[in-house]
Amino acid sequence: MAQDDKAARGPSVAEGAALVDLLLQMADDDLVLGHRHSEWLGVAPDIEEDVAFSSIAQDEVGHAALYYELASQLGAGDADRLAFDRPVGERRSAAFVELENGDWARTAMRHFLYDAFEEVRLDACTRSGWQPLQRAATKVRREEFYHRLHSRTQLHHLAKAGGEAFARLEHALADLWPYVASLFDLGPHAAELRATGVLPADAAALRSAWEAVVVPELSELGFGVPACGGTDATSAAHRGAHHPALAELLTTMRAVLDVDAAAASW
Amino acid sequence: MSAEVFEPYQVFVRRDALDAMEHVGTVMAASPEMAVLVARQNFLRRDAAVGLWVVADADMHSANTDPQFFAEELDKSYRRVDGYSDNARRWKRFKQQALQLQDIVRDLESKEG
Repeated sequence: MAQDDKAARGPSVAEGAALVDLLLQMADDDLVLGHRHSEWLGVAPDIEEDVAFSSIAQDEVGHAALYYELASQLGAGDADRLAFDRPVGERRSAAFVELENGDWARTAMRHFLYDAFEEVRLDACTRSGWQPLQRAATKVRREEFYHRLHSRTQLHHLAKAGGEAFARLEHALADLWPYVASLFDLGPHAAELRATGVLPADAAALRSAWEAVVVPELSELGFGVPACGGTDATSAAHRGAHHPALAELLTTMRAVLDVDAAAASW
Repeated sequence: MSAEVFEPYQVFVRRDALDAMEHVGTVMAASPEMAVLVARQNFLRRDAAVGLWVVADADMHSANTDPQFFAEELDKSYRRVDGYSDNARRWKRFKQQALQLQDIVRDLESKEG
């Protein structure tokens, strides 16, 4: 690591808290959606997609592990404990990723919308002044190339199939849209993250970058995009406002840990 | 999975820029694009590669499956190169013989002289 970069000196205490919060947002989002994706293991519509989608799920969990590790290096505690052992109230994931999968159409639509969100968040992170984040984002983004291609191709195929597939996607989009705002809640330290160059973008900029990508694509496929901006359900617009489904997800994820916390090791 | 929607695709992978494409298996997919995407995860989740082809079964042309197409009934050993495998040993033996012949010739010449 270069001696002249900010990482060599380490972030200040205040920056550290802001950074940890950002890293936990990114990690929790990827862990929770990775877990949701993995729920299709064995029951995806076809065997090839079952394998492909599970692999994507593992990638997402791997990205989460990378962010937890960075948070751990900043003194947030053991990475595995961060992943498995935090109660709902301390989680920083967005309600958007916590919702149950629903049908395959809703899974595909969420995959598409989330990957586009990750792209804009990671794009900002690749310009981060904190080099460990900048480097991590650059690596993760290379892996996300495939995810984006997969999610877009799948959405296009399902949408163009018309009929029931299109109707289910349309329904999914309406279901998911109110939760989109939760992704763009960058937390209580957003202004500081921006001012210090750790995350050189604000929520509004990320959201308009995201809309510039997804809205034309959805329109082209024939979806009526819900009105953007102020119509989001405010109850779901903050990262603290977790979806009730998160608690059950965490219980499943912690099943082994809860049997014998002392014996659980990774 | 509906047979009218999903088609089999043969998958080929190039592991290294200097390697040939190698057949690795088959996937069922709804389009060539989806076949490429699922093939990447079904065969290259962990391994590195630099190239991947998928070919729809419908686009492949196969040899007749009648065993006569591949018939090999008579001795073909004369077409093989196996006979050359001990060339070095034979050449060495020949050189030794030639040397002995030369010795005899030289010996005879010296007596005649």
